[in-house]
Amino acid sequence: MVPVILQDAKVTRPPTMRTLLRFLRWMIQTDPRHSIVLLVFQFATGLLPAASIWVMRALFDRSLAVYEGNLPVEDMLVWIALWAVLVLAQVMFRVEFFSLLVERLKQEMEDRLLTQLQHKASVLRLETFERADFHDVLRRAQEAATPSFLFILIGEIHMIITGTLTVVAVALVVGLWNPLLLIAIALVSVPPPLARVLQEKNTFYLKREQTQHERLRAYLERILTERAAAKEVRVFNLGAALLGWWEHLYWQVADQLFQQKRSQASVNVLLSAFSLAGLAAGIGWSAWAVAHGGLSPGQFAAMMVALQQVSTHVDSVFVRFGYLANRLLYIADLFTYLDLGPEESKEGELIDHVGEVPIAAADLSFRYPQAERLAIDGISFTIQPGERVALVGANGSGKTTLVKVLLGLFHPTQGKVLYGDVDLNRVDRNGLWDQSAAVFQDYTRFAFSLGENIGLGRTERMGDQAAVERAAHQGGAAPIAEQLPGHYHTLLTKEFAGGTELSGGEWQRVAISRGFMRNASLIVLDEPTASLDPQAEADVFRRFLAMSGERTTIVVSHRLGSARLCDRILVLKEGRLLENGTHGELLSQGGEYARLWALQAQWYGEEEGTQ
Amino acid sequence: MSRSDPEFWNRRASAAALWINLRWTFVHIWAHGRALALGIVAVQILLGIQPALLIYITQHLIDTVVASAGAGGAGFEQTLPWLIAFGAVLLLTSDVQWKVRDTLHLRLEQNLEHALGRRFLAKASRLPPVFFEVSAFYDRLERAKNPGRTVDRFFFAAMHTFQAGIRVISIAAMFVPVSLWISLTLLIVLVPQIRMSIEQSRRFMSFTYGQTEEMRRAGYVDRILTGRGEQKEKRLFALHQTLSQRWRAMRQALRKQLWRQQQQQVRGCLPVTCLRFAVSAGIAVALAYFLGDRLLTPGRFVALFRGVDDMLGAGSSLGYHSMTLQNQNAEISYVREFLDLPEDDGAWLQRPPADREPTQPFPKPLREGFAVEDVWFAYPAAEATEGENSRPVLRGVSLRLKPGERVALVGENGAGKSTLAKLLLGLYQPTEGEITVDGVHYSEIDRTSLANAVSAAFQDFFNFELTASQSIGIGALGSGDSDQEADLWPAWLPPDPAVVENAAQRAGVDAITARLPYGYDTPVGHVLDGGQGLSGGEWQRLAIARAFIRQPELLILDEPTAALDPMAEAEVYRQFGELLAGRTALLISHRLGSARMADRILVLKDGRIVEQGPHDDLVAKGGVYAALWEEQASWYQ
Repeated sequence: MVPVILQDAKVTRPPTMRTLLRFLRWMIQTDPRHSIVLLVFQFATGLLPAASIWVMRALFDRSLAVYEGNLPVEDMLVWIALWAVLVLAQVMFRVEFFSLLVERLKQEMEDRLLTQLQHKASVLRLETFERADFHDVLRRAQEAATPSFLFILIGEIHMIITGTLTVVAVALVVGLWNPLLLIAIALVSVPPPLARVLQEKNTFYLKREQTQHERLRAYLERILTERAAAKEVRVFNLGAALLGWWEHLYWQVADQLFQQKRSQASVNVLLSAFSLAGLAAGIGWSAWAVAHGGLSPGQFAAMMVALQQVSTHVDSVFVRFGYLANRLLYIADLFTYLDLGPEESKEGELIDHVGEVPIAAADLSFRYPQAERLAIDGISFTIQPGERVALVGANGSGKTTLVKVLLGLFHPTQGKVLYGDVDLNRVDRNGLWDQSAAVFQDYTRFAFSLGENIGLGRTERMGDQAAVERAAHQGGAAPIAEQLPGHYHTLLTKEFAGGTELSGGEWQRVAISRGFMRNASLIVLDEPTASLDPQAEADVFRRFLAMSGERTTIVVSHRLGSARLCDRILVLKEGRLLENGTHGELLSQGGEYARLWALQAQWYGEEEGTQ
Repeated sequence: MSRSDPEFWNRRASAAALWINLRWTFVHIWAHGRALALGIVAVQILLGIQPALLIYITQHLIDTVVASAGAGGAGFEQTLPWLIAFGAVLLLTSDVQWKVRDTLHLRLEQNLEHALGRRFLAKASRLPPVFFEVSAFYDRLERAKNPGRTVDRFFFAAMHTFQAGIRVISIAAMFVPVSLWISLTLLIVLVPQIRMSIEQSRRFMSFTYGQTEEMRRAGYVDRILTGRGEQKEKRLFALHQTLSQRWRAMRQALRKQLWRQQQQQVRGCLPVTCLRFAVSAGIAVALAYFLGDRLLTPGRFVALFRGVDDMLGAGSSLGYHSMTLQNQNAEISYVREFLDLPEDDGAWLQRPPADREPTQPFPKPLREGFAVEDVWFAYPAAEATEGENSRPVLRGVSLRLKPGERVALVGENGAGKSTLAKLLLGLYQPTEGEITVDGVHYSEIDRTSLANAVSAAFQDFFNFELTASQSIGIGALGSGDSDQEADLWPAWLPPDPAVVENAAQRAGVDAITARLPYGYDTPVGHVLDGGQGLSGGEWQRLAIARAFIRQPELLILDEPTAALDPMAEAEVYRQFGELLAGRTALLISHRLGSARMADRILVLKDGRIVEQGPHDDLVAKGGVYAALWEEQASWYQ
């Protein structure tokens, strides 16, 4: 898989046609039967207007004869019936048949699209998620999966195909009567595409130019209306100033847009001269031809209908095409996303007993994508089986990153991680993860029931109520279950009906209980930085140590008071390993750790705190 | 009221509501773009009568052409005016539609978006903060978002319905000279069609929204499957399989329901559509017989025959647009109700302060300080029926803050610490009891004056993703005259750089800006181009600097160091003494080590102050505080 470079997608407009063709191919792959039926019907509906013009011409010619008494009225009825059938068929195709067909197709496509997005997320290497531009692409790709998006997109493609076919077919019919009439059709058809070619580029670039203004304006709106900012807006009395700022931005963007629109409209009016010429020439010449016997009056009347239809369809095809091109930008992002790489490797060597091998980092370095600095910079150490190790250091020193690299979630930029004597790059990661349990500081608060939140720690045993309760007991979630109205079946969110929300400390215990679902031989705790109160925090830590028992344990902590309970402490600073030893050793070394310890302990010492 | 609540969707049912909304919309459009709106109405009328005009012109055009047929050019001059008229009408209407109307429309939309958006934002910024805490209220705001666009869409749905109405009537009118019965039949046959559309839209909407809860649940599982934060656990716990199965099952169930509904709808349409076509064909046959009896000229026959065709299209579009209008009706109700909420600071949400006017300035200099007297506070219950509140968060709190005193507030999560802070900031009004400063009641103090005198760094502070300088200076916007005029912000906006840098230095932000490419002018966060990401701790330092910049009388620090690492935390606390410089301060903290540097410690438990005094006294007392202290200190012994 060739990794796609994301930045490039932002600078130039992705080629519309290539995206469209890929989309159509993707559509046919998704649901060949319905797609092909749809395409066939698009052809059929596209040809119907031409057929009805043919019928009208016959009808109009006969109407003249009927009027003059040369033909019985009954002779017309067949043609009227034919006309009715044609119009009815058009409407049936368009409304009834088409809407069902598209609904079906759309559902299939949505399902496939979402499944592909989900699958991609599960196989992409985790580092990719750290890219700043990744989320823009993902968000736009997901946009394509919103309920009305595909429906409208298919509708637009449909209208463009049928509209184009209609124009071509009508032109053919009229051209058969008299090739000169084609000139009129052509003149009527020229202005819309011409206008589009002239205007498309600058619309796109104006939009791009304005994105920062638009983003800032939307952000100011958010500040003024969001719950998260409501306090500050009032305490700092920001309402009036932000509103003024918002207005300042509003008219800048709005005026530019309006001026552009207005100048486009005047160009369009000029282009209408073409159409006027076409129409006048076409109808005038037809009338003249009728006068000279070159064209029947019926053909003339049908020609008027034809010109009207061509003019509306050409207009609408190009208006649609503009919309379509915009929508295809999202589709282009979708394909960019689906092409992203690199993915996780699936194979590898299975380590039978992770808890029985030492884990070593050898000159290990890691750099986040797009970052300049190494987050982890040449670290080496070994963790013995069954050892309890604490990682300490300031924010941003690389503690959590190191844990992720050790677990194989991130791939080292340089150096390696060894499980026993096997390089982690060659290890079967799923097998490794199967034997480990980790509680991260940003653990997920699933909007599922309490029982499911715990059970997800080991999905095979999710339905095993006894196992869930045992884990809840060990992890401290059992008392929470007792308080809740539906016990383990209580939904833990207010987002959905009948749910309740837990406090931070309670959630933490649920997360720990989730870890207890696995009988893991490698355990990792990324200590919560969120504001748990000290009691809750102490409780979390005690429970965690109980869980670790004889197993290899890695703790990330910035409270040294808890770190000291581990067998060994690794002190990180700016991605480097500064110190490595027991609490006592490090204190007596008088280095970074000793300094940090003094800082934290002084608050609780006998003498007055510094002021 | 959630979206699954039937109440939410039943609104659309009433015709009275439609009328109220239409009137409300027209009043606003009249106020913010009457010329544009009148232009649009004129265009709609023109577009509405276009088919009828074409029928009329076509008739004469064909008749004159027929008359001149084979005459070798004689009588062609009679054809000419109709020819020109035909071309002109066709072109004019397409020009008017795509060029004139769209341009007018864009401007009207912009005017509305600006005027109503401004009103919406101003209203949102004036609502009492409690409004944001109760989700039933907050939902009202959420649903009223983008009011300009909503009003514009509603207006256009109304305009399109109006245009389709004109079209239908004017086409039908063209048949009157031939036969009144044909005219009437053409109109009557539309009635079942329109009723059908409205009925179906109603059924479909209630159906779709009836299952939104399920849709949202499925959407939620999808978000977990694709989201960033969940990826670690998905891999470690091997969740993908389980979750994706769950998603698929939910999705299948939804699809089945939706499909059944769709089929029903299409099948329901069938008889009405067939009826319309049968009637149209019948009328065409009748026209043929009129023609045979020489009651119609061939030109008129052709024109009216086209009219029958046009009528089919016009009828469908009338049905469609009246359906859209119906659908927009619910949306516009939310906008209208939100914008029409009483302006008076949401007195309907809270006990209004008995006949007090916020006219007094904040007392300066402070003599006695702040007094909280037996204050109770409860969030308004979701139903917000009068006088009814949910469980009280504060239950009779009394305390005093002397000028220059530093007080620490400690207690478990949920004890009511942050709520007390918000009361002292004037963000909430007590449900019972009162807060005064130097004897002046809070609700008598002018809002701006109060805002200038109190400041806070919150635990859940907001990240202002602007330039570093603005992100701090937003605490004191527009105090400086700046030459930093830029098209991204108005000239009066940028704060005084000297003031910003002073506050930034004191809060230790200068270390952060030093490593940013453009120093204080570097955009932080992701809103502006070239924005630099900051860590949680760095954001928190910005928040502290922001709180300091106003030089407030009372400064509240609500867990100001939660996101800082121990080093940074110690540093911030070391600076506090200097930072506060004689100001009254309330410090909320979990870490008793930091609380002990305060002059006095208040221990809050279940909404009451259970202990207070200096650190040593409280430890000696052996109560709640002493137990907490023991627990925390033990980690470091």
